[in-house]
Amino acid sequence: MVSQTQPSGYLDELRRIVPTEQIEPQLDAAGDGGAWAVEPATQIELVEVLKWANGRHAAVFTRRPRRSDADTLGRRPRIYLRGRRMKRVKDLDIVSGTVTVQSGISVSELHRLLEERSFTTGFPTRPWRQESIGSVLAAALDAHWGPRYGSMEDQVLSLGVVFPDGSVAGGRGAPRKAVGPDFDRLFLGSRGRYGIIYEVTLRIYPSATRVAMSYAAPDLTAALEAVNSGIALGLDPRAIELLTPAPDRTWGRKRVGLTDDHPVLVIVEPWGPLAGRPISWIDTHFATTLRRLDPPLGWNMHEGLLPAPRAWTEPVVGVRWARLLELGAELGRDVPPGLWLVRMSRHGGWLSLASGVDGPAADAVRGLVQQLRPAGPLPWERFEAALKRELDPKDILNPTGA
Amino acid sequence: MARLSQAELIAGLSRIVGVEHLSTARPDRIAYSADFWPKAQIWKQGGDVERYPPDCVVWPADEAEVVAILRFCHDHGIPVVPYGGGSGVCGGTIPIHGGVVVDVKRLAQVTDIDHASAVVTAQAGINGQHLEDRLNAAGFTLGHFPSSIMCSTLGGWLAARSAGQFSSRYGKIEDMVLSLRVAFPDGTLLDTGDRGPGGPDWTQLVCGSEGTLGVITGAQLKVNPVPGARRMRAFRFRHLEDGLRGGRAVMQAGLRPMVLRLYDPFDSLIALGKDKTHGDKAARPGVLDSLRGLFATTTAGPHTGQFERPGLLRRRLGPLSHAAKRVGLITALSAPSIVNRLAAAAPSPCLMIVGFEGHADAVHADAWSAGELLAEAGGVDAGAGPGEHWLARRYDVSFKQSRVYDMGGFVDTMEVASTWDRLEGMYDAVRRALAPHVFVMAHFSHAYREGCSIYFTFVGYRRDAAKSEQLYDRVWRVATDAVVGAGGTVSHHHGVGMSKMNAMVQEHGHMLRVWRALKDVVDPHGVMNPGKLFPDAPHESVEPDGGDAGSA
Amino acid sequence: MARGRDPSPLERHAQALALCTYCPSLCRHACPVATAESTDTTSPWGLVSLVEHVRRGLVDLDDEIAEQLYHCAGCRACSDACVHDNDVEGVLVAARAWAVSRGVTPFPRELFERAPLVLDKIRRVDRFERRPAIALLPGRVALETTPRVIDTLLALCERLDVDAISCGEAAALDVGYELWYAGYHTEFVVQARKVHAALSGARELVVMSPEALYTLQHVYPRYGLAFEGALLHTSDLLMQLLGSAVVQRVNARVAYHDSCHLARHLDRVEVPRQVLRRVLTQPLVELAAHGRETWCCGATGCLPSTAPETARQQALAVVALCHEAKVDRVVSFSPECIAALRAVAPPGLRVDHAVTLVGEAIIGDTAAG
Repeated sequence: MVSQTQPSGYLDELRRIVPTEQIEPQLDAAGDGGAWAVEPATQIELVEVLKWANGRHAAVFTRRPRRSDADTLGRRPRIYLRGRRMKRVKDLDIVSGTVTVQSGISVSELHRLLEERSFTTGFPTRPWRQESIGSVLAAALDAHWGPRYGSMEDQVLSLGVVFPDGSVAGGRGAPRKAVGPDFDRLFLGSRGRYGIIYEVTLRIYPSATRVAMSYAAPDLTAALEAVNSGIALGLDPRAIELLTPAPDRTWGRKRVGLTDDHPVLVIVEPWGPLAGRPISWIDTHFATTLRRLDPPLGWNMHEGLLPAPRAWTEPVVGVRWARLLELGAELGRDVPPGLWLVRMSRHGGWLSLASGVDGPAADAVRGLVQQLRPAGPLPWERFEAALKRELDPKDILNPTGA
Repeated sequence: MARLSQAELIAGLSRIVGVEHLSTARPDRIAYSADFWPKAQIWKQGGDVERYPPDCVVWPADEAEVVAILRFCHDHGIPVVPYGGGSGVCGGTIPIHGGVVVDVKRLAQVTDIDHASAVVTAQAGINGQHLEDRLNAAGFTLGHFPSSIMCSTLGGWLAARSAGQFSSRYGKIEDMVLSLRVAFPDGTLLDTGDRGPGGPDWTQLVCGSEGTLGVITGAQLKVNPVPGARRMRAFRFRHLEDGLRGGRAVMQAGLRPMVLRLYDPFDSLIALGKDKTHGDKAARPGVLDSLRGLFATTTAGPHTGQFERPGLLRRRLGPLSHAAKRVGLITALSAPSIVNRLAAAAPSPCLMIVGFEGHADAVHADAWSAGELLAEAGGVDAGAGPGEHWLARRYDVSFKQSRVYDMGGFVDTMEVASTWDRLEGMYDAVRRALAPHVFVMAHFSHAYREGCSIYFTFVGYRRDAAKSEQLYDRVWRVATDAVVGAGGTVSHHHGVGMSKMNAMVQEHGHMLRVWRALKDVVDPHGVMNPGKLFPDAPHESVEPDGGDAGSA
Repeated sequence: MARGRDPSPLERHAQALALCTYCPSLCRHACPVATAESTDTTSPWGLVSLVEHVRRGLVDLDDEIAEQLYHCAGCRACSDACVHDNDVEGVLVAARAWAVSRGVTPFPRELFERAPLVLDKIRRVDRFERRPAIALLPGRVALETTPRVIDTLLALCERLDVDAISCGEAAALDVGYELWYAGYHTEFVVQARKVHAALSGARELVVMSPEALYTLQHVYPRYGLAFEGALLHTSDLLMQLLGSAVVQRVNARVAYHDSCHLARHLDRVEVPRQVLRRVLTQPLVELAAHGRETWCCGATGCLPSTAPETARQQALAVVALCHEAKVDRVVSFSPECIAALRAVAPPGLRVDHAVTLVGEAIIGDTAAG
């Protein structure tokens, strides 16, 4: 059902919903339905935009425009939602340790605001600094295992969502519930296909880590053993990870003791503060505990976090210890540079590729990830498609055909 | 879709499970006609012991049979009630529309323990204690100790988002589960672990669905090494709010006690154990003593507080016979407002129990740190005794409830949760709402970094079952309203079933559309556990959760 | 039988019945029958609830209801798990008796009534006297399935200078445990009187079957049939004998399966272990379920007659425990347990009477009993 309204008519209608300065016409191919970047400033504006789009069978994207969009969508009008005006901190609850923000706030801005109050989120800062919280959540790149903060999903206490027809849902935040499935999870990782996240309540934590411990291991197996014994000692660090930096990268190789004989780096970031103990005590506690490992390993202590490259790039896959140990035996010293295991816990870790690595090394890591991924078509895809039809019958939200 | 005759139903299902694994016998229909929803207990008190019998009970042997049963029921529009231990307290497994109860207890294998990764794979029908025993034998623990562990199953835990007593350290069951295997009525059997990057987490969309989407047949869960050390401590606080401040400080300092419980004044008396040392007082019990006697653990715990308020309704009952106890209970519960006021004024300090387990170094460091924080909040060290006592007797309270029914009363618990900022407000609101109707006591347990659960226990009495049922319904209505009004969630770990279904629109608002969409996708004929979890209202009747909409 | 309609036998249990009915089945994990049958109907809660409904007149006691009451091994694991100490076994025995008295039990008396054994069978064991001063009561199962164990026991006695022991005429009689358990109490009393008469005068009774010992020691006196002589279990006797014996310890990895009646009803957890530790080089292997928490192998409570498949599943569960404990040999002090386990044990698992093991250590006889 293609509307006969002309693009200029659509624009007039949009202007009645949001002020003109929040609408930016996009490059327009002849004959299509028109395309605008729209920046709602309030939840009501967002709701109205979606209602309009639903009525007009428009396509609403939460990403940047692509040339192919016009071709795929023909005469359907297109809206490119921008969240940058919806970035209010609605509530910083330092009693409960939560923050409620509109989803358009960027990760770096949120961190800056929280740092002023000596808090941080459980998100790694670096990879998504410019992205909005909403888009990071809609993509939900990581998953289950985190030694201290848990996964990205674990950071979310509640979500506010607008459905394609403009109806609004938002649960109350409680630490845990047993009132049915966790519906928020449908929106985490589904890239705006079922609804638009307009607001989120996140867990926050006192900012803490002052030091990092590192150990340069001769091979993957030794590195995995070091990680494993650290976990077995009952340490509960913010991060335990394992990294094989590219040899041509000069960042602090010497500082962390990496040599040709010891190419694999284990990083442990302590967590604190513990009650009544200064952060320095925590740091020392971790240091002395790790140094007590038998056989003793050469742990180095560093002021501040270790520097880049510590960005998270796709691909990524969860790997259990059983498989990690096999991998250690298979690869031995032959660990491809760029291989990065993060969020390691008693159960496994996430295998990914460190940023700044390309060429054959990167391909080798990507190959490993592919190998470890579940094979074949995912059985859920059918359900997801059916759900999409139920919740967004007109296929207005991020239509996948485009 | 014409409904099958009973004979056709039996024939069809017998072909799937075999005639010996299907029953229409009366003993089975009685046993499977109710769970442990207190309202069903009231029915029982009134002599109604098979209000909702199923048409039949089946015991499938494996996943393939589960799938075939669901497919059959889907094709013929027959209600299906997935059943694990039947230990739920919300009516979730009561076959209110008849149909087929699918008891999955024959799926009870631990299929794999991955030692390197500390991950267990087990079938849904395994009894909780049996699973823990198997893990212990392999050097692991699940860390999940609901007070129903003896009678509940893994599948039930997952279906209702169960919590164990050590949830502060190990999380709830949804925090432990890595993936589920689920059979849906359209004949699909899926493993939620087969998940690529991105995409919604189906594990968490099925977990908590209380049998309304499909049958959970198995799961993979994180396990932990059996802890090398354990340390219990206890503190007394003059005021409840001091204890709450201390508990919050402990959790937010990043300490991970396995348990942190704070009792309100009256619950503290019970937690401290029956006082056998003050014989003169025990001989002159007041009305509160009769209530206390119902719940107090049978062996004397270390006595640290005392109860000596001369009660308005104190009676000389002498050594408490069964009949005398009954009289005491009825007297007490006939004037709940007064008794609640007396209990609130009990000059007992609030007791907090905090325990740590894990690697010895961490346990001692954390226990020390927690002590510092709790002392700072005004806590007075009460030693290891009360915590040890709780640990040894922590399952007993579940047994106590049958005493109340035996005496003609009813008892229920309500486990609500909120963030720390709203917790005290919620405590007061619920107490206020319940006080005119039932005797109420509470403790705070399942503490997390950002909030905590409150566990209310309430005891009521009416002369006959019909009146008890009325009172019961009224109590739940006012209590859930109070919780919602105070900004909490009406269930932390018991689930919804039928008992909290009416609060679900307030709880979820338009988010219920997701459930309806899920239902339409996986259970288009609506055969899965009908009449449970969420009201079956058409979309329009759901009130938008208002308020917030204009605030952005 | 008009008197049978009187529900009073259950009134005595009224409190236990109520407490159990309203309890959310907190002993469920402990019940081997409900576990084997994967059902809640035959859990202690399920059965006691049924009895309570019957007592209250809410449900009619008919064959179908009565049949359920026989899905119990009488192992008492539930009572051990119960904070109220509810006597589930006692409740169910009373309920069965009521069903029998009303003529609604589906199981006929003949199923539980054991005709006297042919005396020849007993004379075939190494020692027989009509009225011995120390009477050995092997029990029907031992005589029928493991007669060589009896010989080994008698040989051990001889070796250790206990000459006065032998099987007498009373050994041909069944003590009537199953009759009592199944609710045929009139028939039980008749049988018990015979046994009591046949055994009177014996200075000591050495009983091999734990449930027989339980019956003689705890059930008979309720009917005024207490014994003057001392009642010993095989393990008690061996414990006395081994004090002075020269032992050639057996080097084997052996697990011990506790009989429910021995461990729970008769509180003999340590004595059997002390006997076994005395004759073994390696430490005795404990199954995951042991001592008072032993898992019932289904040999008792007339379960083999009333629910044979359930009994078999229970035995398999114990075999699985042996497998889990990585042993290829398991011993027990109960002839009934041994028969049940042997019926399902895979070729790699040897099931012996503890007497056989002691025999190996003292006589050197390695033949299986």
